[in-house]
Amino acid sequence: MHKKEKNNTMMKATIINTVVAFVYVFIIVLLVTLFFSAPISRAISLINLVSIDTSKKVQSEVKIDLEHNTLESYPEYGTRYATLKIDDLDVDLPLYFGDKLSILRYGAGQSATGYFPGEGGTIICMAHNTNGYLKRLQEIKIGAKIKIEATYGNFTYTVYDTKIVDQTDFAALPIQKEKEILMLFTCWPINSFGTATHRFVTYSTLD
Amino acid sequence: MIKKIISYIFTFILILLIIATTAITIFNHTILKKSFLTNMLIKSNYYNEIYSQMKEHFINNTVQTGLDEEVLDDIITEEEVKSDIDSLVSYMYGEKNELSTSEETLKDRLKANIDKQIAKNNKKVTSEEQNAINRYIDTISNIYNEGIVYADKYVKEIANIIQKIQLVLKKVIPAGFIAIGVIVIVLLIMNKMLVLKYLSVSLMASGILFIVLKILETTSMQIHNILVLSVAFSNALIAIVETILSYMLITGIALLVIGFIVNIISSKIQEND
Repeated sequence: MHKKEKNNTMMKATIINTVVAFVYVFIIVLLVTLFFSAPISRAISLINLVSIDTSKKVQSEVKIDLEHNTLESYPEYGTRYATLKIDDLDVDLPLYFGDKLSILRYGAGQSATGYFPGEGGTIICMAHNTNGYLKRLQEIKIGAKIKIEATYGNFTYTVYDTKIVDQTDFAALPIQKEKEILMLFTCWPINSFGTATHRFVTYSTLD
Repeated sequence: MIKKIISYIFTFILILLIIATTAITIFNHTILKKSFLTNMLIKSNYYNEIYSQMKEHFINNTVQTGLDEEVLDDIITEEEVKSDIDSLVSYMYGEKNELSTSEETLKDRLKANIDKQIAKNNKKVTSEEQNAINRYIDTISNIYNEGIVYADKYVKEIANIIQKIQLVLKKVIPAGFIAIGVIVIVLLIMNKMLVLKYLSVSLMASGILFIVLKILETTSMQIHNILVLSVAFSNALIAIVETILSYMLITGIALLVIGFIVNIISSKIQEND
């Protein structure tokens, strides 16, 4: 009995000490929350801001609202959403949304600064000037047809002008929404080596 | 009564000291140690990923130039990339005075490959094309340099910070342990019989707080999905942060267990009295 009482007293003391430890934890957590909650929340938000949860991504179908000339949903950056065709030059390239070099390696790219086919504004597309891309673009004639066959519809454009511009001449690629104009360009000079400083641009209107 | 209150206050300070000293010691043996960073880079496959990433960028920039991808053959090897990264790490930890990469070697090799290809095609290069080729070579060497160093300015700042912190911690860590010792002695003087109780409470509370930190990280932060600068850099950063947090969790569990054992011993001593 005496031994049992001793054990009970010992267990009681152990439990009390453990509870006291938890009380200290609670007090410290409370003090930290009171005095440091703002910087801690900011730090957590910053960490979560630079994290990307790829498991939740769902690519929705691209649809066009023809009444209002706008897309109801847009392709994800870096994905292929159309095919660019110029029958006169045997051009048949996948068209991606995005204009990074890593995208242009696989086909034609579309700048995120313009509009999409069917939206009634400027569409800016580009591809490399080498074999398999737009090497023959400088042979294009006024009146030639450029087709964009998108997942949500087909669009045909007729070339009305071509220009050679400096790569920094952004005024040569004006963004507007009054008329649907396709500006397709490639590096120039076409058959040269090295990093080009000019662009060969074709201007086309929607048929 | 006053003695008890003062003891509880000292116990509170002891908890904070144990947490601070333990956390700083963990940092001193991890992120502030070159071998730890090198191990994390190996664990996260950083060297191979940077090499592959750079090769991709080289190819992406070559497609538009009219040059064949062959010009990129053997301009840099994975071993050279690893050596440059290790050199950068040595610089950050004060083992090297200068920041340098194999950039010039890469440029020389690339130039030689380009000259070979032009000669093979029997093409005469105009002065404009030569300028364009020089721009291309500069672009490739910038890609390499930035791929290794990211940004000179920030690396130098990080190197300064690491070296300053290492100097400060050489004094802070022993001071922390001394302060812990002093408080334990004060508690011993105030009440010889209860010192183990206060020590056990401090150890258990410190352990629980480390565990709470790990729970907070798991529930509120998406550290494993961080994407900063590049995939390779992010994977390395994630490996570093997760390793440090796991050390803290292990330390927390160890403190809790030791604290509980001391708790039992203290209860037995009290009960015998």
